[in-house]
Amino acid sequence: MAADLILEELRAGYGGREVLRGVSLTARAGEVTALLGLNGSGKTTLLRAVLGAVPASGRALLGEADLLALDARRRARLLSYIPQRSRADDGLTALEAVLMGANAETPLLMGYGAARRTRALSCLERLGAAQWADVPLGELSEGQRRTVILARALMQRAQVCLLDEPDGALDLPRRRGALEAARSMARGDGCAVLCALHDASLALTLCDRVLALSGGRIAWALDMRTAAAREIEGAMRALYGDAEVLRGERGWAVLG
Amino acid sequence: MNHTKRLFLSLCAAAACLLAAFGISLLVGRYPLAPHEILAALRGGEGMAAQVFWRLRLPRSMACLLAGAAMGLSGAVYQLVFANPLAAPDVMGVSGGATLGAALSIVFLGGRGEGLCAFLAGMAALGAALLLTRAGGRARGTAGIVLSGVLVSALVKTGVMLLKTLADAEGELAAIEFFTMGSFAGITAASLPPLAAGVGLGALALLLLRRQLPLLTLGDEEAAALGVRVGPVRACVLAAATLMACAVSAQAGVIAFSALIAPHGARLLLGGRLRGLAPLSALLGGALMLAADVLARLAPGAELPTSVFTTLLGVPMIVSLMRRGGARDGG
Repeated sequence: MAADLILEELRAGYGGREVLRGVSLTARAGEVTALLGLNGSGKTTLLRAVLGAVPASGRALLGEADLLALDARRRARLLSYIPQRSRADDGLTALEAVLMGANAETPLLMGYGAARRTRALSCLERLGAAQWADVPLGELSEGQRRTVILARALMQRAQVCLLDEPDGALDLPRRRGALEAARSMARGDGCAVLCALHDASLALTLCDRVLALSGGRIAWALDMRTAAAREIEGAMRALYGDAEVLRGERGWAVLG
Repeated sequence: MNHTKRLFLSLCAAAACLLAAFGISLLVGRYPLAPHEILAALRGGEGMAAQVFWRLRLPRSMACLLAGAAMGLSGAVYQLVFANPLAAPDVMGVSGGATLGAALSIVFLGGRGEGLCAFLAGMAALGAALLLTRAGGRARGTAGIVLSGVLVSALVKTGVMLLKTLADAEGELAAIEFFTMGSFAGITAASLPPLAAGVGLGALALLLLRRQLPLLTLGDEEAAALGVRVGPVRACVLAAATLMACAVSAQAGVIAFSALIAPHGARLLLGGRLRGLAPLSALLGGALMLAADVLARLAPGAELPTSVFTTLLGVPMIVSLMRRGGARDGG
């Protein structure tokens, strides 16, 4: 059953340095929520804290469950993660990489089995990537590789998906493609997608809600279905200084 | 050629090489055996040839096969877990640590619990190598693991030297000397059960955890996000691979670079793919070890340590890998 991801007073950091100073936000089921912020604002730290990769206090609630209190196996049944660049071995095929998404649901000492292979293939098909099933990751482009990792997240069938900067190191059509795929995952599976982004234009155009992190806290939040142009422009200026916001037929453009 | 066909042909070729090397290994040695003498021994014949076959030649060939397969598999696991082409139990000083453990057992326990001491000391050496690699900071790249291995090996050698001064010159000193050479010359039928137990147990654990191996290559964060309990799983996988390497060292000493060569040969045959890497590494490792041991026995004059031939093959390979790693680390 789909549930919202609710972060309450999340605090996290590295060594003695606190990066997140009490972040509270809601990423709604079936929606893509974008996290904007300048470099070092804590976008990646926030995702890593929810993931359990950095020590954190506060709560990350998904229905009844507090994700911060779960062990890796139980957390992976509820939460998928797409890193900026996957370290998956170049010698794995796309199908083998997608199958890894079924790890948490498969008993530790068992193989994945034929049914999960069929499901992995259908995840690749859904993203138009079935033709790469037997191609090693080392022979795929960066964009194709990201699509495979997105298919792995689909395979995981989690209620929340965390995406770390899907706009990095990709050309414009592929950035757009990555976010559109995340949107289709949110709409199709009722998944709550929380996405750290650099590209404000993409965030305003393709995400349902846009939040800004600044000084370790949420500075502002926009609901893109109801936000007025002036409100959006004000938010962008608050984050980037002297930014100009334009609206075209295909979406928003933020000029620095 | 698709991967399944390539894997099948590679496995068949490696198995054929292994069988051929095993057959040759049964024939050659200080007391050469003819095929008809082996057949006679297998049919229950008696005499000198049968004695040599049952007591020495067959156990030695089987030990080489098991040891080679164990080192190949263990090297493949180390390279995957550490995501480093130079990682191997011998390169990281683990095999050396195991020989120190065996030497400790010889000097202080009269040889009792040799296998257990070798395993514990091997695990301690692995821990030391990992701590040194972590402490190395900037030197953590591909070559960092080799540098740590050099330091651990130096410490282990110092320990063995100290033990030699304490060892009794009649029996213990010779036994320790044997471990430092890396040779199968001392293998008898009695050596097989502990070797087979260590290798079998390690291989079984790796077989059960086979699905987790590619997941460990993802790094801690990504693997944990896919539900891997990274710490315990990595510890179990490394302990299994280390157990196999230590079981070999407890019987034959350090066979240098044997765990490095086979997995790289397997990766080359498989075009870099992971599927089938472990069994192919094991088969190639067995064939390599048998071939090196046959050459050691065929050397004119006195028999040479097996390690001499694996080193001659391993050194150019490690130089080439370090050059590639250096180029990658340097960006």
